[in-house]
Amino acid sequence: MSSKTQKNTSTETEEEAFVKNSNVKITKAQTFIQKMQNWANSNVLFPLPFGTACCALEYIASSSAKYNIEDHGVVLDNYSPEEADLLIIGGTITHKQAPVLKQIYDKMPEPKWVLSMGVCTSSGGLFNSYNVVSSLDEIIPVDVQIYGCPPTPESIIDGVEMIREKIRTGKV
Amino acid sequence: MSMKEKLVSIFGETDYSLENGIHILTVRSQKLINDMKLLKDQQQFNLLLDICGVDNSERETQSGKRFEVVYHLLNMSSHERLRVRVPIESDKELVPSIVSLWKGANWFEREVWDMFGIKFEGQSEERLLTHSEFVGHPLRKDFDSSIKQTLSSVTLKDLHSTESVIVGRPRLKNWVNVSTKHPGNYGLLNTMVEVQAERVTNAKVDIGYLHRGIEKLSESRSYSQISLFTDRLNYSSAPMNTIGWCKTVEELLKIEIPDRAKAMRMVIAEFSRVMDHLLCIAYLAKEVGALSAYQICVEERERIGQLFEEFGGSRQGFNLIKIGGLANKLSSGWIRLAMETLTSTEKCLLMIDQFLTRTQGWIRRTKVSSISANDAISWGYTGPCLRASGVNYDIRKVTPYYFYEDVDFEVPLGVNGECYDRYLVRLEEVRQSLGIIGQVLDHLPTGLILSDDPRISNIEKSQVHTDKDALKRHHEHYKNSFVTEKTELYSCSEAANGELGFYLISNGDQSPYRLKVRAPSFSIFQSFPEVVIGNELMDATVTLSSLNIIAGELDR
Repeated sequence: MSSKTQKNTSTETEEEAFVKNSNVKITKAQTFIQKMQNWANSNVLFPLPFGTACCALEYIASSSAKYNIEDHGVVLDNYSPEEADLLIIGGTITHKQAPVLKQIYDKMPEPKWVLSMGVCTSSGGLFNSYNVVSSLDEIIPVDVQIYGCPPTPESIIDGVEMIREKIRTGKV
Repeated sequence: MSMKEKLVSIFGETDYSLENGIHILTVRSQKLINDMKLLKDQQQFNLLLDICGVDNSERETQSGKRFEVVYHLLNMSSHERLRVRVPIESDKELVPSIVSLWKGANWFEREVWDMFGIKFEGQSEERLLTHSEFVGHPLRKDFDSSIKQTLSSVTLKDLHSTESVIVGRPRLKNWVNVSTKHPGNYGLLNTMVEVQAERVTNAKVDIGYLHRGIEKLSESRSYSQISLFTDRLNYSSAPMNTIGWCKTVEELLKIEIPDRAKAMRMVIAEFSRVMDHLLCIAYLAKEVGALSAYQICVEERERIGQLFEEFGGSRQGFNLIKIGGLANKLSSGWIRLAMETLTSTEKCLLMIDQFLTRTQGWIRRTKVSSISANDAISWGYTGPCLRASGVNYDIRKVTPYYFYEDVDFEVPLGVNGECYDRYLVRLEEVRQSLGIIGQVLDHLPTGLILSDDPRISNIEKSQVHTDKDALKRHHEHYKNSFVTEKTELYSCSEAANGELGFYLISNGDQSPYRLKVRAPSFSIFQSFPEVVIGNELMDATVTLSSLNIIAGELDR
């Protein structure tokens, strides 16, 4: 009974509580496994390209033979959120679209990362109007924002590399 | 008997006027249907270009009424355009719907309701571009656009309605989403088809997912700032939209741009037409499963993108065009690069031809979704989709602008209006565009690239450092935009998808009083349910690709 109340009051997750209660220290092996996981995640990313406008065309360009985003760990386009771990948002998000985006993000399994392309996506850009979402952070958390209108394929690849660096160092 | 005399004899002197090359009629809303029928049947104004609303509360008009519904019609035999104005006292007054005359009027009327709150008889009061929880009518002058109205939950319309489900039995009909494997492919569209035994029995489309409010924003921006928005209308051929917009403003200011700028605009416009058509063919090929053709088209697009980057710094061709001419001078070696691109694009066309045109699989998959010339005109089709149905109408040919009358090119026509025809027309148009570019580059005029009209051109930078007055003028130029006279204007150009028109009302300010963009995709996409019904499910995606709907210009 006492253990139950303890569990409810603490903000730790079940796993962390278990580790604490059973006096198990995080061993070298566990850190190693964590590192291995991060390394594996950073090398194979399954993106869900959520392109809405002009930026989507640049994402298409970045996956063409010339820039070849696949060299940078972004494996293949798959269009189902259940199988993706990287959400690439390119283009203006309107208020009509925002709940759909939220739904897609919620469907993605953990761990997941979000890359937002272009100024329109992050801040509404030059479309400061009644129907455009002015801050994407209000809908979903964003890991990396790339600026540009639209960003070039090089900067998209740069953004992907930043995401990979974040995953590798475990800063997410 | 000229059109003017004919119209005056029918409608009388008082209701008729002629402004900026367009006939204008003022019609009372009670007589609207009769008059429209008369215009359509007797005067051959058979293509409905556009319907839009105007809020007159901050300007003076002859009628003195609050609202106005403005119709634009096109006479396809004499190539004259007509504007019909219907003054309306208040939003309580019902306007007769003209859907019975033109099928394409449906979405236009719904848009007018959405944006102005003007009701049409028999039209649903469902939101078209804004979301279902939206309050107010954004394009009214008293609308407070600083309030952000969020949507609480996903309201994909209740398409899986229970009507098609018979309780206790297996479902006979199913709703399938065909728009996209992914919304980015065509921009954001929500296209659902109802399928019974692999055959499409019903279809519904929902638009407005990329409604960015360009028309409202334009009312508070200067004319040159608006070219940023027009760049992003049809983003797969960006410079072409801005050419259309700059042409409109130049007609408003009555300035003539230098010959070199005209010629270079033609080159850029044709290159972006090539880009647009290649993207359309690429996605058509991807839908059918011809992935090698898809890769070839995307790669070729990339090459033209580099050409634009070389010219103006943007790969998609943003900010290449400026009111009065071009934004940049030609860099040395650009023309050689352009010529090389022409050669490579021609090779690419040959490869596409080999891969697709005569292949049995391709023909079998794309010979679907036929649309007749009559239907196409009734829906308000323009551009390649109209020509694929066999209607010979190309603005570059019938009312040429720039040097289009001096270059030699053909207008390709289809026969059946099927996806295959649309593909062939696009492919041939690319070939003709390459021909136009070659001819223009061969005879590229020398001279200025920007008009020297004081309202748009700035003084030489070297003078600014020495002359005090010059410095003052330099600051003034960037601080204030030019002021225009009070007038109304409709200007059109042949964009990649069809007639791109700008209806501009100027009230003598630095920004337009009202700007309506007549986007070709808007007319084309509303015909999708009718076109697709009766075909097989797998043909629905092919049809959608062949229509080449770009959400940026569809929703604006």
